[in-house]
Amino acid sequence: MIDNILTGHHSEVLGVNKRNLDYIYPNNGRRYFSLVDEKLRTKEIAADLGVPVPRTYLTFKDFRELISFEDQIKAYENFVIKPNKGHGGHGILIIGDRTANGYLDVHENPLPFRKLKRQVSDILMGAYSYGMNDTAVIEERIFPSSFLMTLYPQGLADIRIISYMEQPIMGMLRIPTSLSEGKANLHQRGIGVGLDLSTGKTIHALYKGKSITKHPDTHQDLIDLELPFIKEILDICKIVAAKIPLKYLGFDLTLDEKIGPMLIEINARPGLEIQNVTQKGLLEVLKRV
Amino acid sequence: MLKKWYIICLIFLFIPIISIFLKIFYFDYEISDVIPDKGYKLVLEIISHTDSPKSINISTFAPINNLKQRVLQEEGFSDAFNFRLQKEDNNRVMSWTADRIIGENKMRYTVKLKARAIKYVFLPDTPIDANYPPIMNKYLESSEMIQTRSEAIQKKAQKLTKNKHTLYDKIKAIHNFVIKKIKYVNFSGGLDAESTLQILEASCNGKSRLYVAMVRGLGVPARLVGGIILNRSPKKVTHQWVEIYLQGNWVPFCPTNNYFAELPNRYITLYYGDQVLFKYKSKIQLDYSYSFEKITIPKTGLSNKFKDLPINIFAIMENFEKFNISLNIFIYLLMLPLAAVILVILRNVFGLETFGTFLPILIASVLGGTGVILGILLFFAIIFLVYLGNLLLSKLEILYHPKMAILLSLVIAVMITVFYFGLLGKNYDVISLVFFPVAIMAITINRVTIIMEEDGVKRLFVMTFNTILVILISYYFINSIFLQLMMLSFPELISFFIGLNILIGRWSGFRLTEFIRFRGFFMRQQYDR
Repeated sequence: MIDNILTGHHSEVLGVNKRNLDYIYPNNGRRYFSLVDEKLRTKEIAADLGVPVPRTYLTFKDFRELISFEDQIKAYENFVIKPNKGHGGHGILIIGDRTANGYLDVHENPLPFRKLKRQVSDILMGAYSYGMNDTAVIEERIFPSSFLMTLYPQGLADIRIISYMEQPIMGMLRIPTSLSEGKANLHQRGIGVGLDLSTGKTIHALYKGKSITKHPDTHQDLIDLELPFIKEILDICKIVAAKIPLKYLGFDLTLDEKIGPMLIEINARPGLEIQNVTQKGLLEVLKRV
Repeated sequence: MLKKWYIICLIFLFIPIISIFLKIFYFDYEISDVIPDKGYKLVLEIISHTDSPKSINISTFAPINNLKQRVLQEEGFSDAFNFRLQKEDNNRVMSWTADRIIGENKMRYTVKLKARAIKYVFLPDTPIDANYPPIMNKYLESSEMIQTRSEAIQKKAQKLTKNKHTLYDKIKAIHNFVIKKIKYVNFSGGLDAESTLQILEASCNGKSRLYVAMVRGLGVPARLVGGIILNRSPKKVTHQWVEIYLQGNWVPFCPTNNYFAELPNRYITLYYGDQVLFKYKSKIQLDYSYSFEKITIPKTGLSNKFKDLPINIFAIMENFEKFNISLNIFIYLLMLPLAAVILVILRNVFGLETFGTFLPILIASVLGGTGVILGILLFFAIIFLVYLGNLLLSKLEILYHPKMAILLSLVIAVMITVFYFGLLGKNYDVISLVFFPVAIMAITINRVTIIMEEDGVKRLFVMTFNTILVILISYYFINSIFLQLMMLSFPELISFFIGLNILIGRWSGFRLTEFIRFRGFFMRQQYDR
């Protein structure tokens, strides 16, 4: 058994080395990474397939375009500013509401224009994309469905689906907490709730490395819930995966209150923490595909 | 079926093995031929103290050049004293002078020297040379502390050598007597030859004086040698031993540690003759200590010796020396591929994630210049400053690149402050911090900021710990004398490391830290099966 553990074979868990060597390198060609690393390109592909994505309002590619920033942005009431090549939820600013002399964030704190402008310049200078120049995307703010709102009303919960060879193989729901500042990323202290993809039922919840059954802030039950639209969510993953020449992917989706499942972004190097969340080893599932 | 990577990996692993084999069996390449000489970097620190303004002149000895040791590079530094080095008889005397100074003042003399062990073959039939040149007379005379003509000493020497017919046997008899019959006691202050014989106990100087007195009594020139044994650092205790003039050579003998016509490399000669280590006139308080570290010094003439070799790395080494570039730089270059492989193992097998890909080994390679403790402290200080700076600057809402520039300026400002107060407090060690390259600082600032913003303080803390751990491990490998010798002798080992990297690069097993991360699975597995 020691031998099995050391070599990583015959064990149900997938480690970083094996993920990179046996799944990412052979299946995800580096030259196609930009299809998923750049959110605008991903959205283009999805939109062509009729998959709902957040509408893009504006894009800023260089500083000259910032001269008329205020005028351009005035047309929109609430929106999200994000880096085109960002990762892990970094550099995302959610604008909650408009007031007479500026905007409010999701916690109703005032956000003057210059703060918005600064966020855009930071993105342009590459503060969220390893120092390489980037494009700032101003897109529609998504209002989560009542199912997600009940679990935690601030921030946006999302759904991560791992797909291999166009087959969704594992999934989890990620819910923000008061500690995660509205973000659902696990390493930013969001909650991971494992899903049974065949039924859409939640099976196990993990928060800061420990199993829980209720949301620590809202005290909502997290286990044995039925995620709405599970079939549609998996269908989105399948049809988008079929269109992208990368075969090991992490899809991030959410549920919009009006439209339903919506694709946010795709990750070509999805993390391994989902195994602790679902209490299921990826290798075991991957081998069956 | 052999996979492609497997074959490439084997080629890389086997090239150096074949090459080493060829070198040893075909080119008569012996490791002992290329092993660089051992040497020391020796630092003498002197602190003087006076309560009232005084003009001070302190003199002591700088290591001598002889068959056993060679000074390669030396310098004296003090902000209060003038440093001068001159020859006096056979000795090299350094003097520190200052006009009307008060309080505590530091002097520092640094020397790099090559030192080797020496061993003479003292043949039993070595004759006593009857006619010494007049210059040797002073090594036969009786002096105040070495009383060759003392009746007691002459009588004892005669008794010891009565039935001995060769010079070898006579000296051996005196040697054994001083070793066995004069009890070693550790007391400060000198003891003359006569008193040593009288009380039958002495420290190294009494033993050596008696030894010299008795050998001179045989009509053979002998002298006292003063120096230091580099076994513990720092140390204040100096040592004295004996040299006897045999067949045109001054041959060493140590009656304290029982070396007969030989000395190990750790004996460093500071002066010849019955001298006082420090001389100074005014009434001052003086404190001193010697500290040292081992260094390697390349053999010269190797490129010529191995000119048949297809690739002759010694030519590079000699050119480095010619342009006065420290060989250490070349050695560090050679050690980097090894350090990189260690880093890869720590990362991909142990799962220790660090700042930047090569940052830990870059830092490890500069620790030789800055000193381990100071270097690590500086690295830690940079992380802490960047952390503080980020907290403060986040309130100011400053753009990304200007923020990086401010953090870099902040680190430099703090370094200058450290220099200022360090030197004000006469702590010259801080100067070595300039060896910490700005490029490394800049990368550190960048990585720390990104990790802090993206992953939070907890991860920053873990990464800092990991990075320091990896720095220390790589430092150990880079500075291992054995590994340095292996790399100097067989630079083709770089190919071996490439092979190792391919092996690790194709290894898909768990990283050790993943056993903790996914412990739920591994513990369950044990119950299930």
